Amino acid sequence: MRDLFIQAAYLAASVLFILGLKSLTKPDSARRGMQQAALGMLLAVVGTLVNHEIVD
Amino acid sequence: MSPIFVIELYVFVLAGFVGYQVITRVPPLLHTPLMSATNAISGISLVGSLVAAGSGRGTVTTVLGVVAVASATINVVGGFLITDRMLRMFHRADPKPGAAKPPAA
Repeated sequence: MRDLFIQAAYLAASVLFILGLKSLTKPDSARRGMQQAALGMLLAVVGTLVNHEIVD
Repeated sequence: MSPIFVIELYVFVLAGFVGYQVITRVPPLLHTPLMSATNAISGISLVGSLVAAGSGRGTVTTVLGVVAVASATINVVGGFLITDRMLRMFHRADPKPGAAKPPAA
């Protein structure tokens, strides 16, 4: 269950990264896209920290 | 060739295509924030350094992991902050008629 959450967090993070880079094609949507990418980074870090070996 | 290697090769090749298609559509106006953003996103190595620091395989590993976590965190946070500031300047310095303006921060 926890492993599934970690893999889902990584998948969502990579999707958010690609969407964030894609939003840089237009200046209007660039800031929102970068906030999406930052959210993806937060997801990846949280997904890593719930791992068994790091934080009990 | 093991099946896992083949799957990883698929992921690598498809990721190469996705990256090429996304990057080539960015206009030259936004190349500087693109560089800054890719630098910030490359801080995903923070995940690997977190795993290394938390694995508990000896003092050397932990110390090097903590140094790596600190460096990667500086890279991620600073990179996203600088990208956001850069894009805010873009909105102010380049007003276009008809485009929705964000409130001045």
